[in-house]
Amino acid sequence: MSVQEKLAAARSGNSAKPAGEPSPAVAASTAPAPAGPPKTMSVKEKLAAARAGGTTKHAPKPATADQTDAPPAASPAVGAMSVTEKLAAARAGGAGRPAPAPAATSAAPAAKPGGMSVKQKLAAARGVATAPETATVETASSPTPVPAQVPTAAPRVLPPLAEMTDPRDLAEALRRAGAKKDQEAAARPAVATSAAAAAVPARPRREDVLGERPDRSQVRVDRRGLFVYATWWVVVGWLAFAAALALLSAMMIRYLFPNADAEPPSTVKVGLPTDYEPGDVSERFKDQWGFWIVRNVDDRGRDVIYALQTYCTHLGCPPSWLPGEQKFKCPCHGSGFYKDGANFEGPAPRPLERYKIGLADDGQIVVDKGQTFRKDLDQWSDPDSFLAV
Amino acid sequence: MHQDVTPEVLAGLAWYYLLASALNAAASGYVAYHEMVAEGASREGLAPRTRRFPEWLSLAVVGLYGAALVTVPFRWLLPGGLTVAYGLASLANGLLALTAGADAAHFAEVHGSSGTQADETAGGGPSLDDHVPAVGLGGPINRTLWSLVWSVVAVVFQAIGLTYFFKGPLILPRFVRAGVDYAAGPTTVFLGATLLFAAVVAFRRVFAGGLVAFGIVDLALLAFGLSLTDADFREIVAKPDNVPIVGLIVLVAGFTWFALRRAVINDARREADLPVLEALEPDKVLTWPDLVYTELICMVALTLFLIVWAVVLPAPLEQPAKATEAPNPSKAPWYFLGLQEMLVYFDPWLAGVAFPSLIILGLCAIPYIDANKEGSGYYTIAARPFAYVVFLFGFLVLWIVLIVLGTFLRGPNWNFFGPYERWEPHKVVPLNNVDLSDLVWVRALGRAKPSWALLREAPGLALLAFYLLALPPVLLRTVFQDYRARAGLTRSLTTVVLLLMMAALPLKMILRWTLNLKYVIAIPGFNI
Ligand code: FES
Repeated sequence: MSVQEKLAAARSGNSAKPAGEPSPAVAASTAPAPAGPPKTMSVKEKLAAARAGGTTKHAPKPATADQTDAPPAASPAVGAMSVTEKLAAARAGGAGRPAPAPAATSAAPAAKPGGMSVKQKLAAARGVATAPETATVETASSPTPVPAQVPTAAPRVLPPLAEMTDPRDLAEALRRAGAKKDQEAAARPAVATSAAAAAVPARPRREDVLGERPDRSQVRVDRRGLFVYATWWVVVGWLAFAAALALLSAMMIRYLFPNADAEPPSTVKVGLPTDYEPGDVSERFKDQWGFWIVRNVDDRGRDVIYALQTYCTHLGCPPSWLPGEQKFKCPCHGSGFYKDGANFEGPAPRPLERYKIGLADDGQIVVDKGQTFRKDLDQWSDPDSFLAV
Repeated sequence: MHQDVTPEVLAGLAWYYLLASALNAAASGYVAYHEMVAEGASREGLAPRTRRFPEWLSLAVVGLYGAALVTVPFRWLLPGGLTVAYGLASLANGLLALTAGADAAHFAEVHGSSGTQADETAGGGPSLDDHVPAVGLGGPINRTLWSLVWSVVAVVFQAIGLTYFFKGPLILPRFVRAGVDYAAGPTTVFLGATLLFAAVVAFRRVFAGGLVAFGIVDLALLAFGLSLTDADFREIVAKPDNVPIVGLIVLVAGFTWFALRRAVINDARREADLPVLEALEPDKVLTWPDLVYTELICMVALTLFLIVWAVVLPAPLEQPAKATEAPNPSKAPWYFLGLQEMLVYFDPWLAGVAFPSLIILGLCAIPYIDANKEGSGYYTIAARPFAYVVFLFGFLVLWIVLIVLGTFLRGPNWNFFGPYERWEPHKVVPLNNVDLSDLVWVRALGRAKPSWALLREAPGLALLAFYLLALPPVLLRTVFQDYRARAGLTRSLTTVVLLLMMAALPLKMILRWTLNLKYVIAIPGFNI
């Protein structure tokens, strides 16, 4: 008999059937006999079966220390249980009802303690009720299911379902509901006719299984319940979230208004006009201020001083002044500009821009970066864009 | 500092040629001894193997190389340890090359005199002595001849390596460098790449052959090795930034060749009504272990490679960033250098935004506008020549070549520099650009440009209208007539417009190089 079959048999409504009925002798001889290829159950079915009221579980009968003589053949099978099955078994086992003691302990497959899943152990340890692992199997000859004597915690008094707030209480209530079903199922008279028949139980019909699901009404969580469920700690959580959000937003907004304005003043005095020789391109202010002071003869033959912005009109790289070729040349894509700023090679679409320039009261040249003049817009004729010497 | 050869360079080159020689010796051994079975051909019908790699030879080669490898870390123990190691390794190379060549000649002699050998089948069927390449790759090759050729090349390379090892300054002659520099220019590079691409596609059957390919590899090795004796070339190529791009060239060339070779074989097989190569392969493999193992090995190897690379070639830190000063030349990351090269010819909006989006959109659109159902699941050129040529031209010439150009040939101030030219920041290149309006109004018509922008730019606007509005219908009626009949109007129109956009890039570049044309249309804020 495959583990799956055993499980199926155990979990089906007639839970006490397979192990409970047979006499010790028969059970001893028949139980280990392999019973054909294991039936394959879909996970859905297994779960349904596991959830079904009959949560008593026989198949992975745990071995107590004195049962080392149990047929070892069955133990690997237990190990081969899928996690789902183990979980289902564990959940069922912890269902708060005494597990029926096995009819024939010698036939019971010995599960090595090591083979127990963590979940099982936990379930066992928590044991509001008999976990299969803790069941003391003292009555090897008893043909009827005997409630195992297990130290059971005094049943907790649960609040009515609708007023539950603690998830543990809710889980406990669910467990109890399942356990009640178990008891009903166990109380039903067993119908098994022979050990062999019991060994190969019919696959639980789907309707049976579905029919024995815990009724929804038993775990009713209506709106009021949910509302009560969401009590103070949920409120606190949301409040904290909102507060954090508000704080972050405040910081963001504050960030937009810096204490100090790092923007340098836009005007700078660059010395007297006589400091610049005719034909000079001064790079003194390039690094810090971003312009060249150029003294040059313009189209109309006037000797003028102007401030050229050091940004390439193509994509904004800073060109370098090449005195040998008397041109500005951009290192990024090779745009070239004449000394007057006019573009003549490369991709730059228009001449370099000029900054506003003028004379201060003390005779020094003042460059104002707040205003630029573009040649292509005919702004270089503006008297502010150059300084006649 | 700018010395063509220094002792370190000579030593490096000696080892470089040692490896090149080993490669050729291995090729010689492969051709002489290896059981060469063409792709897809079954072994049945071929004579049993008559050639075996001599056991003593493998022992000797492995032993000599092993001894050399052991000597290197312990070279401080005995004076001239490095020389011993180099000597051992070159001895192994020479031994392999000479034995393979001699054995090949011997086999040919035996084959020729006795007709058959004891373990060879009688009768005129092909034996393994006659290597028949894969279908489509030409007739049988003469194994004796080619093992001799590769062994001679191996010996020559080894001789060059030994020359370098004993400090013989063998450098690329000055006049060759000057000639290359003189001939090099954006136009020659671009047109040369285009012509090379056309030649490869046209003579793909020749290029797909293993012997031709290996010959090209040898030539490339020699050219690269000789170029490395030039200080300027070395400086650019060995810059840690640029080393991956050298690797990239090798990788791109290698993979393109593999694909081309398979396509050539498949085309020939389809012509001969044979199943394509891909049909011979099992179409399914297991994820575990096949794929996972492969991935795991790749992962480990790649990690190792990256670590070694990071240790050996540390990424250079440049000057601190400054708003008012850029390194000269300022280069984008290598994979963007194609874009940066495009930026030289177009308005930033076009080259930086419109064209990249169009490239991506166009690539996305390929599956939807491609009406050719052939060629899926196997390499082929004959079944889809249009798709093959257009895609590879776009990828290789318009992208990879531009990356290479931007990486190796663009120097200070974004001027073009020949491969052996000093990167002189003060190089003067007369590049006075003119707009199309200048060309038309001033030069052709001999009058001042009209001040009214629309009239001034009328020639450019007319040209653009012709290019984008008049050309597509013309093309659809002529060149793309069949395609239109197959694929419908929408698809063919999309294809044609995308193709024209793609062609605009090289056209504009050539106009810039030849006519110094800056913009076809120059309206402030809108330049084309
Ligand atoms: S940014 Fe100056 S040429 Fe592109």
